[in-house]
Amino acid sequence: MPGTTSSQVVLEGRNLTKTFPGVKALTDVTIQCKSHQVLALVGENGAGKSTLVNLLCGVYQPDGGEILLNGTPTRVRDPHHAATLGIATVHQELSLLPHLTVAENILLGSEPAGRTGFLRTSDIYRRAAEALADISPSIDVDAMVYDLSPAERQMVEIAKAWSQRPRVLILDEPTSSLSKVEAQNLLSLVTRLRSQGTSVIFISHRLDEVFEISDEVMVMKDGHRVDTLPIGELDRGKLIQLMVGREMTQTFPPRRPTPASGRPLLELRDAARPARPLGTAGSAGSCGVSLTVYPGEIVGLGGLEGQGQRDLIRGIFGAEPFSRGQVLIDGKAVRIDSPEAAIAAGVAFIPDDRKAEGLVLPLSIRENMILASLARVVRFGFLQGKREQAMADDYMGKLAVKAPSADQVVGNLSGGNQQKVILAKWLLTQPKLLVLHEPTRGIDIQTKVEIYRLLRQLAEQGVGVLIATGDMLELIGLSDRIYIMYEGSVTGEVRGAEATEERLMALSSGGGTA
Amino acid sequence: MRKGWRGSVVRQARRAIPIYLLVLGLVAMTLVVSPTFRTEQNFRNVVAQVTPLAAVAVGQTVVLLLGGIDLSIGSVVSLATVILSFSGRNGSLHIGPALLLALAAGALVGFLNGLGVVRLRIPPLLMTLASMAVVKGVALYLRDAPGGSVDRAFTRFLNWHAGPVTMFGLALLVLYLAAWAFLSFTRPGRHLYATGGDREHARRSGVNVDWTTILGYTLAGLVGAIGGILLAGRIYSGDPVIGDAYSLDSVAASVLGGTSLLGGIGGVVGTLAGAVLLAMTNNILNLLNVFSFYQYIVKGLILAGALVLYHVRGRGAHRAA
Repeated sequence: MPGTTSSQVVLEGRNLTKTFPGVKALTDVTIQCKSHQVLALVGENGAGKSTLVNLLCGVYQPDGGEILLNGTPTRVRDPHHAATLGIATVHQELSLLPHLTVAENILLGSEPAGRTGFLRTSDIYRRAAEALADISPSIDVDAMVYDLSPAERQMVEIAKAWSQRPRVLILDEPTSSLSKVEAQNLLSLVTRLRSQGTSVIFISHRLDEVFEISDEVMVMKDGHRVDTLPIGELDRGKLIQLMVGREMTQTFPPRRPTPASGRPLLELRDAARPARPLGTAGSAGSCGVSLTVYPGEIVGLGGLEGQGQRDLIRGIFGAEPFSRGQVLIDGKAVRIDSPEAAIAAGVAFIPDDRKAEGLVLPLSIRENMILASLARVVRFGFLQGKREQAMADDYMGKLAVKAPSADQVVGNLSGGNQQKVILAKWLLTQPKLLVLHEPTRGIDIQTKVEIYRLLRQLAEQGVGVLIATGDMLELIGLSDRIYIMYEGSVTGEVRGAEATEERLMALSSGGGTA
Repeated sequence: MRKGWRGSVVRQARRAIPIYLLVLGLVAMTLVVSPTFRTEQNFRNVVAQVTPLAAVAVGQTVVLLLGGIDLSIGSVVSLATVILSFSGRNGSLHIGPALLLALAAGALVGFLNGLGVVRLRIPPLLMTLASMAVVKGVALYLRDAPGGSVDRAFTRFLNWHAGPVTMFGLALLVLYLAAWAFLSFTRPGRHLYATGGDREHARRSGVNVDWTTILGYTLAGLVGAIGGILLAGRIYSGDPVIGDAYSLDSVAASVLGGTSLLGGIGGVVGTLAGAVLLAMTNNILNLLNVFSFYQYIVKGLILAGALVLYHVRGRGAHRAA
């Protein structure tokens, strides 16, 4: 049981302060990590969790305060130094090199080498296999990382941190790319590491997980520590209240009262893309999917990770066109073989990888928002600054983007605000159909709620919304109708009001009938 | 060492298979078409022709793997020939110090390139463009026109041959084996790939990316000087501008061999074939009496073709990922 073994403070940050140009990211924060304990670190995006972690593991240096290791003040020079001190970190953004093998990645930076500088290759593979054996033995140490699924990469990342046998293991949103089953495996692993004495800092937006594995919870808000409490003194409501600073009674807006009907906005008939050859990355492809989205409804697309959802929605947007089947929009068959064709047909797409696909990070909020609808602000070939400004300001307000001005560079915004900019960008194109892939992954609760409201408003205005998400609560709470995919095909269709977690899980694992 | 063949090393080398097939095809074709090509004399000729470029391209490959580029490497080649040209009759240097000086100068230029890129954060293209000009200036200051002579004993040693085996060929073989072993089986080599693959990720894994980058540029400068020394062995003299073409030709050879300009992908195995392809194209077109301006066009087309080839295959790889 939590904290029964004698636990002592291993790593301590005292009164840590960190300022970035224009932002005070961390103010006077104190954190204590004890052996045999899991400390959950929760707070909205932009609360300073990642900054705190980056100070502890040497990515940044604190502007004020000190870090103590076993009671001794220590300067953590860089991540490598942190590793030698026994502090290993799995960052939110994965840091594997795709063109190296699993083993080469796990031992990167601490490769065993002989006196002549030559690598001891067999040692590398043996040690990598040992580390993986504890985490996910099914992954081949000889595989190239670019052949792995996101979930497998996450496991390799954790094995990499674990291979250093750290005294303190920091996990920053380790489960956000995992399916429920995989996340469960990870949680039991964390529990096992704890029983061996490791001190774990666990950052997660999934509160269920926090309640399941943590001994203590530290809540952060706006760069400050709100409180640190034993898990026993908290319940869900209280925790959320501490995080947001107010009661969050209703996460999801009400569903539409009656099923949508009329002419479907989007109809897929037997759409498919050939599955990839075996042995390559995790997706099963999509084989023959038929589904409909009516105007004014929110349709959820769920299932375990990698069951073809990604291919399906990317196919609808033409990012990777379907090889067969028909796409009908407003009852007319259209050929969507590129994103341009999809935009022309009134489809907007919010991808899951916002940094890589959704935004041009060095450009400003305004420039990003206008990017997909330049035609509307161009006259005689020239951009009209005033009109552009007005449109951007309008949507900054509508979506409550938190930034000093629309000229702020997008790369400096928090994940939630970046997602709002992407939404604004596509709403400016006035789409008929909005397709979203994991729109709230890694985003704080408050912004999530705002996004849910916004999606519902859009639906009420007659837009069709198709949302692919691995977050079961979101799927059930938001959708009017839900499709579940398994191994590339739709295994069930459920009305949102009738959906339960058990029923969806049964469909997701291929069992049960709709 | 059997176990050493595991992993990304093998994959990196496998990328070079198409270019080797292309070279073999070209050789086979020319063997049939041109009787002159079949002679032992011409074989030695091709080896001698390919040697300086192939040597220089090793250095360029190292820097490209880092995600950088070295445009100064051609100037380093020139400078090395100029320094050696003071070692012959009436020269002011003995061959020993001349060689050391040439190597040290190359390494120093590379080191400063690396320092500029890492510490001053100057983009590699600009940093090495600047040092290219400076080094060229130094070479022209030392010798404003081709001339001087290289120590006789040394040139005789470099031009030694027994049948088809030449000193140039042996030197090249040693250089490539050393570079390949370094890149594939040592810690700094692995860190070079990692740094070029993703600098921030490598840094977070505990790779000293700054040191690795400086090391890479220093090695490139050093290898550039080796290329210059080998070239001096062919021209018996010094020439302050002879190396100019090597900067871009070495990039071409590396890219033909499958090394990515974005860093982290490729290796010297392919570079060798790339250099051979470029040099042989010249040789073959010469044998066929093709005018030199056509030769440039053909070279350009080969390069463009190779890039298309890698691009198409690269897309395939991405799709699989």
